[in-house]
Amino acid sequence: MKDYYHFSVNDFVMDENFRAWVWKPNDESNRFWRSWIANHPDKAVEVEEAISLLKKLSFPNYSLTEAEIATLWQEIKNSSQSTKKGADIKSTAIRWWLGAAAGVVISVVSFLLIWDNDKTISYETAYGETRTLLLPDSSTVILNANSKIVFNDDWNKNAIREVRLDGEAFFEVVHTRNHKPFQVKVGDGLAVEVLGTSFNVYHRKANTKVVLNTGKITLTYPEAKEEKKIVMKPGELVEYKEDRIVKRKVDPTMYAAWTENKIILNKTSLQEMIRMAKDNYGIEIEVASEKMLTQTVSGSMPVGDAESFANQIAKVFQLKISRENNKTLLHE
Amino acid sequence: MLNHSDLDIRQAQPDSGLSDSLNDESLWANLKVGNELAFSMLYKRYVNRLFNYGMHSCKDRDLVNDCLQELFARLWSKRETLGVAGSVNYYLFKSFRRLLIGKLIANRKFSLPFRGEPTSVFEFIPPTEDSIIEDEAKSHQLAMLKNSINALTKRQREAIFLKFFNDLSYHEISSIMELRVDSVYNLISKSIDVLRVKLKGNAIFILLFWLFQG
Repeated sequence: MKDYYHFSVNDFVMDENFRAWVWKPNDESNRFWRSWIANHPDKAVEVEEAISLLKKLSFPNYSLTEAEIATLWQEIKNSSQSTKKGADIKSTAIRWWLGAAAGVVISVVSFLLIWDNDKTISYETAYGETRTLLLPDSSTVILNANSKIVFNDDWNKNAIREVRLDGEAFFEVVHTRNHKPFQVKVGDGLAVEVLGTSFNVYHRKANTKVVLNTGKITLTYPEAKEEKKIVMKPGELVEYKEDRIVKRKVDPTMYAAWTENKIILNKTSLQEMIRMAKDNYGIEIEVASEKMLTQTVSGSMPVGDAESFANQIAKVFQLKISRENNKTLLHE
Repeated sequence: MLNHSDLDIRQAQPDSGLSDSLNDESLWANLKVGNELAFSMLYKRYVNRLFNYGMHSCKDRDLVNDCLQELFARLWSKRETLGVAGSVNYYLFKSFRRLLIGKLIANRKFSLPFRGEPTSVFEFIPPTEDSIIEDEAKSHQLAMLKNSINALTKRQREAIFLKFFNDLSYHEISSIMELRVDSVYNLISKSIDVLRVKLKGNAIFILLFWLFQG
């Protein structure tokens, strides 16, 4: 923590956190600065002058229109193409669509990329690590902790874009012009098939869960040695466990919250939290008595390293935490 | 039984684009291996910021556009060999400024004999009446603002612009503006002194209201 008490007006103005609060306050910074100011009334004059200055300080903003941005982009593509040399400029006429998330659709001409023959690519995350990846078709994947994704690096030849997942990942799939399906396969035979959409897939020992945020997906799964299909709509969760499918309505943002380094809890039990700690951080948490496991909480919780995660669990359930010999124990 | 005061119940933004969650460095890494989507995301992220910077230095829209085109075209065609020491943000601002200065010097050669150090071509122009009114609606504060920013030197203006509005560090600004790090720090500190004098005597009670509302 900085020694704000000895800050002058200039120090406050030059402090990044202070500026962020004045210009773009959020709940957290409001809480911090309001309580800091309340606790240091003798600094009110300095703080007020710094706020006053920052509130008035701004530069006029010159900007290009969306149309100008698109035109300039075309010119950039044209001029970088004409200066290119060698064998790798065979341009194909594939047009890629920027995801709907980008707000504006810009079409571009892509170059044919030269890859080694059919390489298999795999990414794995450690406990406590998340990673954002771009797939060969420019779809994005955010891989949660302790998860693995495997795919072939050449998707031009195959009829489907296929990835295999073990663990948990959030997908944002781009729609290709030739409507090539995108498929996520998990270990227990379940497959998610889409054209372009965003969804979260969870597959660990306990079960498999798929939550759809936008678009439409088809799930195929084995049931009594037959292949079954089920179509999902946004806001639906499908849980697959021991050959059985259960579908229910959920708030999909809750299941993707981990991609923003937080977890949203909705009547989540201590038992589920302990399983999450094991899945994502590899830590074993024990409880003093079994009946504690059914307690639930709701709200959101930041995600940090293994130790802070365990501490957070203790905090939200108002339990005490003790550690010895690699064991973490929660008790009243 | 449970105390929820520590919990902050907020919904994740359903449409907060994934493109925002990809940081500059991962976009850069993907650009280097030829991912065009990553390139277009970087372009979209930076084009207006650099355009704004350019327009503050010379009011020549075409010239600024030329520089942007050249910068990004070069970025793509040389992507395999590009090495970045430091942040992508810094790299783009520095390269862009260099390009712009080059073009400004070239243009000037036609009209005047070239004099002085190259950076003197780069002038952080005070905002004109029009440009302010175009962007800000609060007319009362306008006169004040114009007055105060105009009281700063060109270099002070540029340093404040880069530091406060474009997230560049003192080190990065020192390299971009070709100054020593402590000079950058002093430029900014002095600017604040000047602004404080200019803005003194402004209704502080308005801010008290702002501070404690909501």
